[in-house]
Amino acid sequence: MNTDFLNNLDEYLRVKRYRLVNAVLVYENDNLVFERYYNKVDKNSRNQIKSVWKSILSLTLGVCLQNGIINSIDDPVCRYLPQFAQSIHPFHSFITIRHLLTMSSGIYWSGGVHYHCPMLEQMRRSKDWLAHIADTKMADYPGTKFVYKEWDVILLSALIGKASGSSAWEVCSEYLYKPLEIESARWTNSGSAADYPSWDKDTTSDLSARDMAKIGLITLRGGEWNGKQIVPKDYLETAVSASAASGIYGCLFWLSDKGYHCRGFGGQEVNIYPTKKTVAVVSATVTPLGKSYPDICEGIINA
Amino acid sequence: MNDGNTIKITGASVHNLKNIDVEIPKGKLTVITGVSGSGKSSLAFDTLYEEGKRRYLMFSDTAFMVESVPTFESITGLSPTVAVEQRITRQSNPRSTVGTRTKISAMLAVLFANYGKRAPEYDDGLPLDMAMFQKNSARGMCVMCLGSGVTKKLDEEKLFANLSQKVDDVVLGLGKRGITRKVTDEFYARYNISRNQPLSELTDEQFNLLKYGDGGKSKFMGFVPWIWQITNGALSTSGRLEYLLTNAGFMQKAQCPKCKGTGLGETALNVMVGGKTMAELEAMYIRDLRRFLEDAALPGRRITEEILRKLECMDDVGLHHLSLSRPVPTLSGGEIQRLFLASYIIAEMDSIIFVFDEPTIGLHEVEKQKLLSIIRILIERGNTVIAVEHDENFIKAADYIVDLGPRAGENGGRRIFQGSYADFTECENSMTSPYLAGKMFMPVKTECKSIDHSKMLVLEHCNIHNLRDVTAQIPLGILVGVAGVSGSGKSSLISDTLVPKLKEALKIKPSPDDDEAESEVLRGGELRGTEGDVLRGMESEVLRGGELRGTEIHGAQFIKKCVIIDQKPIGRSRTSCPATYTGMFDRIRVLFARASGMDAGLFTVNSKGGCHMCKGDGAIHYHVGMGNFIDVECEMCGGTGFVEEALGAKLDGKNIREVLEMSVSGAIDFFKDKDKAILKMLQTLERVGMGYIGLGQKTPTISGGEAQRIKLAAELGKSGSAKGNIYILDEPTTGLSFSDIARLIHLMRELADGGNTVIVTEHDPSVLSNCDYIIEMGPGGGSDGGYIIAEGTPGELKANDKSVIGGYLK
Repeated sequence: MNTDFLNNLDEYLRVKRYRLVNAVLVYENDNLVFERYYNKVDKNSRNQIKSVWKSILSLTLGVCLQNGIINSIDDPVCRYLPQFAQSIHPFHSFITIRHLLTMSSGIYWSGGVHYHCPMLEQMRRSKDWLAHIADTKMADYPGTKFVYKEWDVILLSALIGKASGSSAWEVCSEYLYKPLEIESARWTNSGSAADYPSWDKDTTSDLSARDMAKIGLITLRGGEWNGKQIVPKDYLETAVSASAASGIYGCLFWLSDKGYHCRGFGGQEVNIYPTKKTVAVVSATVTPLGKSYPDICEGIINA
Repeated sequence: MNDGNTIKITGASVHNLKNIDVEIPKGKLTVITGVSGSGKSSLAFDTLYEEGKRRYLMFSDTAFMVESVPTFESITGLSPTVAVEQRITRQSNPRSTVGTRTKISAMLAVLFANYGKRAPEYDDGLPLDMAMFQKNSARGMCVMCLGSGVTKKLDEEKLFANLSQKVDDVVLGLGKRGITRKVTDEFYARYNISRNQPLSELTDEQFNLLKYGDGGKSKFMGFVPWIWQITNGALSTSGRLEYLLTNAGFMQKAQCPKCKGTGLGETALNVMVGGKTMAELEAMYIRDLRRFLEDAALPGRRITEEILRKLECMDDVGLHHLSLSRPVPTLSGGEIQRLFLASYIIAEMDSIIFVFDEPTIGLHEVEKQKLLSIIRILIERGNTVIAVEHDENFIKAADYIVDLGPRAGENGGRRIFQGSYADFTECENSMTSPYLAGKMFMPVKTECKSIDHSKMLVLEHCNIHNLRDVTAQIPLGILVGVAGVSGSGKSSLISDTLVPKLKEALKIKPSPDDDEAESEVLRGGELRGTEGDVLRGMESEVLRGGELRGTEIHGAQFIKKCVIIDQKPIGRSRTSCPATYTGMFDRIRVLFARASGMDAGLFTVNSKGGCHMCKGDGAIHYHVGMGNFIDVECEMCGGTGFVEEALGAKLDGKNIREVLEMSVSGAIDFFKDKDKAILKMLQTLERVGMGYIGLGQKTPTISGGEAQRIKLAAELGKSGSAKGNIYILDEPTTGLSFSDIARLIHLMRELADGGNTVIVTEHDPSVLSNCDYIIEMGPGGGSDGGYIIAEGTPGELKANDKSVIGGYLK
């Protein structure tokens, strides 16, 4: 940890004109060693987490494995989602949960400028989101190509809901947020049993910076929290390793040579550096331009 | 000094131009005449237009361009120049349609977003936006076909139906080649499958693995997923595999089931203006759309009026028979040219130099007059129009004529004449003026071959596009002309009904392109092809499925083979050229290999011989913005496209590059004593008037008319004594001067006299006059056409009151 950098953080943010940054937190060896808030934000304020939610969904899937809700991440998706069992496309039967987790379902996606997701608009207006996604053209054989997209997490969320007989939110709330004492509203639910809160101005998945840090901390602890195994250790290992489709993305976690990362639009970050036993969190106000502040945590970690 | 009233070019020397000086008056209609290959396009496009564009772009800071070799000494009096070339069709985005190109679709999208009425069950109360009505937008496109309106179907049962075929021969034997060979080797070893085993010997499990793979355990994904992966990728919508599978009947294109072929998303399909959806309006003929929008009860008057103004212009230039949904790559050269013309007229600019390439192509005599009046409007507004043209009436209407020649290629490129039409008819050295002056005549046939009524090809209940339950009787063994105004149903009857029906009846490959595709070399296992190729064939193929069902064909038993000689580019790759297309190149490579003792693959840029940097192009293309590219000579190969070793080998003192740079006429001498087959092909090419073309001239620089004649030559060269074939030619006079047309008529007669049937769709009265039998479609275009209005010998048509073309026949 770079103490000099942290001591000068206020000045650094001022010079860089990072006016939208709301919180910077650092945990080292399970201890909170640095905590700073800006813009009238405090330790109880909840901020938009955007796609950090995806990594939380990954842990939720881990929770399903731990509790026998799902047996294997190599289960085919069509076993859970009937929309993918109708031979709309010959590739559908080959899509597995692992492919959803690694963003390699192969379903066509266009992210648009600044990742504004033009394809979501049509989906939102359709009666059955899952049927709409199942109708979407297959671009690649499942598992072969990494394409960061929303379809895969929407399907994963719906699949967890189907497998558990409730919803992804219920599973996360009961088996992850409750033991970790994370406070959150109920995620927005679409008409298609998919809880999907990480878009537009949706605030239901908002978390405090300290709660965001817990997402990192539990992975550092191998899935254990207060002596209880929450997420299987071997799943976490898979989740933060390269997949067959990508060397920079695991199961809804970004990978780098320093560790692994949860990232959300507009500068939301939970960075986990396993060799340094460090978790660093940044949260910021979201604007349409999608600013990001990777240099802050790089400064913190580079001694 | 230039007084500003003329454009003065001195020392023009590009291609075969012989350092010529030309003066062209501004504010007038100038026609450049000459035989094919005489240098007309080199002067109009490669000199005038290129320089006009370069100066304008440099001045306006929109882009920069670098000229590697100066192609003239000086040009003065130049204004901003726009050109409409026919070959532009090949460069256009395969997804662009008449509607997107003219921006009318965007205006309709605005109309629908603001004034559309939603079906109650789809009204979610959210506001509509324009992008939802645009199939090229990720917000508006149908997600299943990504806006193309077309999806593919694979006939799995048929693919594996023959149980006696060997594992190696499954899917046309494509699994045993290239990269796929390696992965299948590993896969077969793992599951104990032998390449030489017949399918019937496989266990159910092995057969299933072969078809669908093992879910990612092996690198080979199984044949069905493999086919989908290669042919159905979002970005690789085309390619060789799809082409081969389609031809073999394993794969079909079908209307997208989600959007019903409209390419639009759910929201757009449920919003209406005046009781019609966006897709319905886009599917209407322009003339019908005009009538519909003129209905005063429609909302959004200001937008509809703007749209109407544009539609009127398109109607005026003879595009009334198109619909907005028509893909631009499926338009003929003449149609695309007029589409551009319409957009310039709408813009109401002055002081522009317009350069046109045969604007009368594809126009009926009646429509040509209208086009001339529109060009007159451009001139009255203060513009200058320069047209390369062969049409007699168009030349007569010109204010000024520049004639180049006297002949093609090396024997052309000189200025024979410049001045008024009256003076031109006196010109002695031109190949064109004697026809205009009435000193020379087109051949006119005196008697028609008699019709054998026991041998007729009969099409019944033709209903595709605008055809109105047409029954057509086509006599065999003679030269048959198909006439009619644009959009009257000529192509619908011949290309879209006769050809697919005949293909079905003969179960043969109708296109000479097949041989070429087979010999095409795969580079690095990658499957190539251009998206345009696939889309070009797509529209008609998709429509055929439903609309051809009730149509019957009789008499196909009299026909051996159906050969289509169209204007599509020769070959499917950028590096295709006359030598590769006609098959000469394979022999030339063998000659080089024999002379040098090296591998024949070294002598093609598509294989080992290709320069590693430019991939055989000879140039590196840089995009400089605004859709403009500059080509810089490839440093590695010095622009030759070949690796050095290949250039070292000599055949009779010439290396492979030098041989490819020869013209057909020049190569005749060179190959005289070397190879009989090459010589024969070269002589045939010369016979169809292609003596001037370079052996290695690349596809993008070959006009549609030239491509058609190369195909004709390839056909004549390979089937000298063919009998019982049917040859289909679509507007073969495109790009031909009078003397070339005379030659073409002779060739077509030769084919017919040899016992073949030649069907030619044509507007040119001199070609039609030489037919034995004419079928005339009409009376109008689009919804006003679709009937056979007259049929019979040229003599009978002249006497027929219902015939429009009859009055123009010689």
